Amino acid sequence: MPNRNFTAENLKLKDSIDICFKLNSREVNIKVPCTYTLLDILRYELKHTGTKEGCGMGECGACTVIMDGGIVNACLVLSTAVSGRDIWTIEGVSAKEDAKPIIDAFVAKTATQCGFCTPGMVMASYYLLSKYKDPTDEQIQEGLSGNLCRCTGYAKIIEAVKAAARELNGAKKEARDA
Amino acid sequence: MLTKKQSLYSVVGKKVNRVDAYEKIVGGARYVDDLAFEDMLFAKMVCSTIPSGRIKKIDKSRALKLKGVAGVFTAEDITGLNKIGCVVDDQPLLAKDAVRFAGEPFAVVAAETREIAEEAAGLVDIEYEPLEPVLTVDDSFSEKIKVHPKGNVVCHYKVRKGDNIDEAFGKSFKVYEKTFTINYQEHLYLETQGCVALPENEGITVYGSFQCPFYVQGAVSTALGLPLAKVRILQCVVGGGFGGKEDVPSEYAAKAALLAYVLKKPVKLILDRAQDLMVSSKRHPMKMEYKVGVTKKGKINALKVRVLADSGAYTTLSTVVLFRSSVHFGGPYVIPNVSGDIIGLYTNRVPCGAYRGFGTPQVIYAMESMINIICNDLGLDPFEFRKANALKKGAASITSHKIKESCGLIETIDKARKESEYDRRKKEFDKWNADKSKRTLKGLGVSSIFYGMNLGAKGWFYDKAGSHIQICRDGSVTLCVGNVEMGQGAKTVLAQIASEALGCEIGAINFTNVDTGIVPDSGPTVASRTTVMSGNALLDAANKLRKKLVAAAAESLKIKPNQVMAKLGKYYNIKDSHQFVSFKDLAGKCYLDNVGLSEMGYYVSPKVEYDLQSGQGEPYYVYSYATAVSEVEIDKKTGELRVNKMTCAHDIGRVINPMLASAQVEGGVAQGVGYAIMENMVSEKGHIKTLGLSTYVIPTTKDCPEVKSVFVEDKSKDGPYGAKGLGEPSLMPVVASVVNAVSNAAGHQFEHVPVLPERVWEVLSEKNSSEDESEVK
Repeated sequence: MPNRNFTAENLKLKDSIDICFKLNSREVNIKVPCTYTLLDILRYELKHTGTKEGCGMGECGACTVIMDGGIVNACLVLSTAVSGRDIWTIEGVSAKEDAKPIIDAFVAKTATQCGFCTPGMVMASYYLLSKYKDPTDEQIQEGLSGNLCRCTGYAKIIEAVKAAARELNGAKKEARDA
Repeated sequence: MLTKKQSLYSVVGKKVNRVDAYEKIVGGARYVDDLAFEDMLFAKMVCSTIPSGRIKKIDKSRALKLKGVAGVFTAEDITGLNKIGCVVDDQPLLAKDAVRFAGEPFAVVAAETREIAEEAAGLVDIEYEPLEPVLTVDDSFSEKIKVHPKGNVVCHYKVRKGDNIDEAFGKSFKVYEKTFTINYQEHLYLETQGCVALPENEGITVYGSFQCPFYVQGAVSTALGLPLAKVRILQCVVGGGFGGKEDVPSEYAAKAALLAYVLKKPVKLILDRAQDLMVSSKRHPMKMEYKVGVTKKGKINALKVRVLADSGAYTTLSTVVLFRSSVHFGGPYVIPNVSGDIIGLYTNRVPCGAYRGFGTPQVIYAMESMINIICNDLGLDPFEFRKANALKKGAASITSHKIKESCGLIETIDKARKESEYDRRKKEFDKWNADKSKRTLKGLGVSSIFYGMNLGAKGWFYDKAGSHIQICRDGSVTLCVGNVEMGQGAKTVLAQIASEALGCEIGAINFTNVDTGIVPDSGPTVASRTTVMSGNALLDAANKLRKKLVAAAAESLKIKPNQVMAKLGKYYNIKDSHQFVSFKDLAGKCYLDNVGLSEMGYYVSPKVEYDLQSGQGEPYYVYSYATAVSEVEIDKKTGELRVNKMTCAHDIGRVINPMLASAQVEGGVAQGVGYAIMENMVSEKGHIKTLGLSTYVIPTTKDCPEVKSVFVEDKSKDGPYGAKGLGEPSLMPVVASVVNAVSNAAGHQFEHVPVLPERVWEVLSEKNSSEDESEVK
């Protein structure tokens, strides 16, 4: 149910609006300028600085977060569309047990260099692996194609996603066997 | 097989995980925009909207009336000097009398929020008298209009070797001539430029995303009129640099520092992506005229080159970038007769400066294209031709630098051929291309390079590095160097070097970000010099500490110091490794014995002799080498092209960390592939039109080739453990090898980079129609 607060009054420039949403499973109530994006709210109001701004135009993917189960660029989500949403950022996801294999694989495969794209890349990988248990090369390439990286040439990131998939599948299998 | 000495290394040469990986991956690493301070103001630059004009009036009044605006600063508000040029004094910090490119800042505002700053920037009024801009290197060279009163030539490097060049061509079996052009490349670090300045201790502290904190320190000191000691620069985690954060951040840091110093509040200045694309430096576009003569035996006997490089409106780093072009334009080959003129020219376009490769990928593209033309024309094998002309020990480069050591070029050529399975693939591709029913054409391309290590003759006075190592009483170690981690893996590689030298475990090491208050001026983090320079500076400090630790261990173990060995956290008896004292206990003992375990290290690059008049001598002390082979595929119907595979063989001396080295190569390949066939910066009448990532398109996961990297380790005597640099060589051969592959697939040597699908389609269509005509006849 998008844009709950999307009314003419709320859209007056610089007006503040009250929004209420779930962030990493916790409820957040906050007043923000309605011109803010979800990215601004996360970074400047809530000090969740793991989500990065690389372009502010939805082109680089550094601000990738999970919203209501799908991945979005936080810079393209206006404050007025945030209420009622279930948002997950790198701070929340990286603390989850099922993200550990991804984080470990990113470390082991040296899938980060300058690191600025990395939280977004991890978010996209987490979403990808929640969607496909054993993704093909094409699915990985497609799944991460919205996230730009200027350092790595992507090879080690793709290797890390594959390694994480193997680990996750192995862990699930072990759990089943037990 | 490992020699006895090599086998002693326990950390160097090993696949050690990045020491900074975890924090970056979980989003905990602190980049400059993640910092916030109480009462912090936000700054925004106000930039020229025309490429050339005289400033008649700047009116701040409307902006100052806006609620929340703390200050609007123009040239007259600068407390120190209004200059920012890093090498030549031709650039103001804020334009005063004239603007010389669209995007040149003439004012900077500070306000309580980013939104107010943005709005205020739009309210600063300027009146210009527009002038006709100089937009091409040819127009600049003619000097009909002067960008600066002194004229349009920024620099002119000459290389003169051997006989009169025209006579030399007279002796050639065959002579080839071609002119190439190449566009800008934008660094496109994912983190835009930015800094935060804080008034502190009657001086100023600046946090930021920098490659060269010491340049920033100098620029801030000049702009504010403060002694260097009152200016402290603290490095944040850097979200990519690639040369783009060499000198350029000084411009922003000086502005933010000025606002902070006068307004007495913290000031943050972060560029948005569009502004970053518009105002920050780029790789130089060039027009390159090449003439190459070869003998009947397939040796290059003469080379004549004229390069016109678009330096943009100000010198910035052009004089040093183009010096490098002048050393590398002939490639890693032995050529007896050479005449080269590398000319940097002012235009009314964005200033061009440092970018990974530093003026070399352009000329390598031209030179290697010439070699491709020659090999195709004479039916010569591209590897054998390169080998026949290659630099080797005892041979001399185009600047008559006789190579004395560490030259693995020929091995890289052999390895690249073998590892790419060139001969098998060539046969397969010939067969594929002969089949008219196939929708695509496939091609292979080769390129070889050399790259002078460190800053060389033109920058020797900057070529030093300091370090500081402190061992705490619990055995943990603090390292601080003057070169920065910007993603390349410096912290990890340097921690490995320190760990090896100190005999401590790598986990004991804690790396402090660069702080100009701790380490001495270490020059810039450029020229692929960090491993060698900071590595050697760390070795200097570590060796002093090791002596003290060895003495303490000898005392504890009751053996002679020369019987003590150290590795991985243990100092042990060389005759009996079970008899040891731990690094931790040694640190504790030294603490109680009042033996100081804190040392500075310092290293100076080997001195070189070079004559700038003739362009002859030793421009650099040693070189890295590489050979790359590309496989490309182009669509006959649409001209679309992709690079399927690249094989890169690099001689970088000792590989300190194989995993990080291959990561560096993969990244360089991606950036090179983008440069070769994708990234097209469009500039119209002096205005950059591609101000976003959907118009300036860089490679995604779908565009990058499979990369196979192999290493040749011809050790350098001056490198730490024999290392040389890799940061830039990783990109340098890529463009030339990709374009050669595309050219070989299309049967046409492409004379402009980037090679876009439109151009490929045009070439293929022309060929088709001429083939059709010949069939009709």
